[in-house]
Amino acid sequence: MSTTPDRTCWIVIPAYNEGSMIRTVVQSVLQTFPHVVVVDDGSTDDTAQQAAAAGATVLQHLINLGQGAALQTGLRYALQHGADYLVTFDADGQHRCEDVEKMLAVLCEQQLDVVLGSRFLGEAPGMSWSRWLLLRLAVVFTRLTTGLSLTDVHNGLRVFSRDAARRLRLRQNRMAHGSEILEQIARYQMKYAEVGNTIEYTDYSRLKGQKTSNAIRILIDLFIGKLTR
Amino acid sequence: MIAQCLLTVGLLAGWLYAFNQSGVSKLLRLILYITVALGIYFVWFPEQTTGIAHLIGIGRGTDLILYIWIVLSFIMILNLHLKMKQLLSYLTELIRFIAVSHPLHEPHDNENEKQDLKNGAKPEAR
Repeated sequence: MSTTPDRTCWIVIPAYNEGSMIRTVVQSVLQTFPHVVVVDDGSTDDTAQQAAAAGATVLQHLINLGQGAALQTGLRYALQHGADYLVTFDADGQHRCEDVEKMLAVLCEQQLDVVLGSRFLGEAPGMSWSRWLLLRLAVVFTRLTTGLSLTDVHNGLRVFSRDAARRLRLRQNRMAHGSEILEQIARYQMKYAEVGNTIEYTDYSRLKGQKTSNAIRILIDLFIGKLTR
Repeated sequence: MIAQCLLTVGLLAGWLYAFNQSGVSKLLRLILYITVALGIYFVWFPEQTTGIAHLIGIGRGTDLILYIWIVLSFIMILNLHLKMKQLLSYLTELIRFIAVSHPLHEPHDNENEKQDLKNGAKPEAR
C-alpha cells in the first residue's frame, strides 16, 4: 500500500482528560487519515469539545470505564461504519502517522490480520530504564502465557483488518486489554507481524502514561479475568 | 447468657433473610438453614466444637470456628467481587450502546456544528 490514505481506514483514539493534547493529535492524524473516532472516556475536562473542534467523530462514555472499554467502543463504531482497517492510536501524542502508513502497507502486502507496533524494532527516545525493564519482563510473560514471540507488548499502536477487529472481544476495561488483545491474537491464530515504530516519551506522555506500578494491577486484572471467563 | 441470646437473635435474623430471598437457589437456601441451625447449636453448646476440632486436628473449638469464618468470608468476598465484575460488564455494554448510537459529534453529517464548535460552542448529545 502506498502512503495514499485509504478511505476505509479508521483511527480509534481512546482519550481520558486529554483536553490539552487531543486537538493537536487529531489535527495531525486527519492530515493523513480522514476517519478518526475519539472515544472520550468520561473525561472531566474539555477533551470531547477539543476533539470535535479538531474534526473527529466523538463518542462519549457517560462514566470513566478505562482504555480497554474505550477502544472496544471505538472499534465497534468504526466497524459499523464500514472500516476495512482499524488502527488503535494513543491520545497523548506518542505515536506518528508515518508509522501507521508503514504498518498498513505491511498488513496489506502480507495479507495479515494484525500488525503490532514495536518500539524495540523502532525507536523510543526518552524511555526510562525502569520502563525498559518492565516491558522486557512483559515480553517474557507474554511468551509464557500466549506463546507469541514478540519484541514489544503493551504498545498502543496496532493495525487490524476488519475480520480481526470483528473477532476481538475486549472484556478487560482497563489497562490489561493490551495482554488480552495478544491472548486473542494467539487464541484465534491470527496472522500477525511487528513493525518498528517510534514512541516519543515526553513529559506529558510520562505524566499521562502507565505507571510502572500498574503492572501488578494488570496482572491481578488478568487473573480475575480468567476466573470470570 | 446475654451473648448467647443476642447471637441467637442475630442468627434467626439471618435465617429470616435467607427465607425471604426469592432469587436464591434451593441448595444455597438449604446450606444457609443448616449453617444457621449449626450456629445456634454451637452458641448454646460451645464445648461441642472442641470435640469436632480435635477430630480434624485443631486444638480448640474457638480456632475451628475462626478458621471456618475466615474461609467463608473469603468465599463471600470473592463471590461479591465476581458479581460486581458481572454488573460492570452489563454497565459497560449499556454505556457503549449509548456512546455508539448517540455520537457526540460526527463531522461528515454536520459541517455547521463543526463550525460552531470551532467557535467555542459545546457539542450536544444527539
